[in-house]
Amino acid sequence: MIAFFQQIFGVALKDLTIEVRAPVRAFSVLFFALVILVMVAFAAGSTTKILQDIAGGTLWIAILLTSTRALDQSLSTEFEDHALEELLLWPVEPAAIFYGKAIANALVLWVVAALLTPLLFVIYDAPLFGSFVELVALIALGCAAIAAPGTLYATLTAQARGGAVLLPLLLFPLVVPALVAAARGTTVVMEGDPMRQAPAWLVVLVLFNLIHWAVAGVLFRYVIEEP
Amino acid sequence: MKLPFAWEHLIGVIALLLFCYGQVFGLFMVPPDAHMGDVARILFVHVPSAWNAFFVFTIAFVCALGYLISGRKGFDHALEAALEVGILLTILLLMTGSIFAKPTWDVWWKWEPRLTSSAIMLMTYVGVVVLRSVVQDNERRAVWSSAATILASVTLPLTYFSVQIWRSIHQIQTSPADIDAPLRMAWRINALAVLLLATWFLARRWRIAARRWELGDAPPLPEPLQPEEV
Amino acid sequence: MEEEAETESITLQDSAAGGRIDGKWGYIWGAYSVTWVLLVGYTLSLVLRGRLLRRSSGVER
Repeated sequence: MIAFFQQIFGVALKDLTIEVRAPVRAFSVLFFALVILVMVAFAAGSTTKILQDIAGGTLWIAILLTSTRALDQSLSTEFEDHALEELLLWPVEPAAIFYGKAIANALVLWVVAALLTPLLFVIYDAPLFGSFVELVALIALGCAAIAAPGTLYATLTAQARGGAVLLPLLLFPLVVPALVAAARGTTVVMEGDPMRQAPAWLVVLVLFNLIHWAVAGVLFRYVIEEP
Repeated sequence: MKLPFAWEHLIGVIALLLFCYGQVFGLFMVPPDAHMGDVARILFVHVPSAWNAFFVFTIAFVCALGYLISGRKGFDHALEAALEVGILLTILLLMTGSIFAKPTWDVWWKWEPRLTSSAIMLMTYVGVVVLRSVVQDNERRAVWSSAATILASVTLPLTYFSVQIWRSIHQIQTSPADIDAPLRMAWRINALAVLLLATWFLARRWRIAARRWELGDAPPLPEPLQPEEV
Repeated sequence: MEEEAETESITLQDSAAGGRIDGKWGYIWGAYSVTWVLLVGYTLSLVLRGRLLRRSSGVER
């Protein structure tokens, strides 16, 4: 059991080392997210009221779109030069590879979110009347909710031709509950949450995470094994 | 006993007859609904397609599990068939629902929980079918689409739940129990007819899937043995 | 006949408040036509795909 967690930690560390050693990769992902935030502001108009209203939703659209870039990068690296096959030659559990990579992807998304959220308050003039802790919890759980099924699907699409197009097609409808919960939750927390809706959305996110981190972890073994 | 035709055609003929009868029954023989008038007749095709779409997607889920556990190719053929028939029924569900929404709510589309989650359900499974279409290798396609189907299916209750809080509209689930006898009859006949039709579709599609699998698996014939072009 | 039918009919959904909707047979025919077009179209697609495959594989069923 300890060995399993060590394997997870090792895989996550490997992925994060790649991100740190090749800052261009990480930087392109961050810049992509930033561009989306600015572009939505241009498209929606410069009225402060409109920008304040859509701030929560825009944050999550930016994170979701960025996640496809980050996930695709993270998994296509594994299939270049048969890196994953060689990794599987080691006495390592396939599930540990999944959890390691998913955690690394979640961390990347957390960094993206941590960069975008302060910008939201600056360039969208977003309010924060609600609880800061709830905001952090929503963002943390929302990113994790995208990372788990995203890692599984990116594993499939990175091996298929035209995979980069396919990933959003598979992932976006699947993460609708997480997106609805995270975006609505973020918006109500920013507006002060007079109806106390945020806890309900947090429950949805926790459920989503529980289901997907469990099921995707089991399924991963099947999708990387050579039939 | 050996039938001179495939077994599913028997079901197909019964389905066609019953379906025609159900349509006539729903259109002309049932009295109009007290509140919604004649427009409620649309529900006689709308609601059965909803039930059957859920049923067929449940079959898809079971087949996906079955394939991952047993690795038998029959499950993959059934999965391919169920995905496609389920998508057909969901499109039917959404289109009739949209036509029903216009006279009753005066809009073609309403972000109502059940409508919205049906649309998301459609998008989810269309994604799986697109995934199937880009994978060449039979076993790989079967495993991948099984995994995607399972993930899609376990998310659906949560999707419905989240869309429901999102809209905060609560509508009572319509079931045949609280409806007048002739209306109930019309729903039952149509539901059974659509179920039989879906069975026929599934069986036919299953055969196509099976043949495709064999074609995909067959190694290329050596040059001199190539069949002559017609 | 028409009135008799109306007395028989009962509530389908309580939410449809605001008076009864009469007529609108255009929508009804529309919905039923869409159903037939979809189902017949899918049947045709099944038959065609079956034919094509049978030709390309040369297998009899």
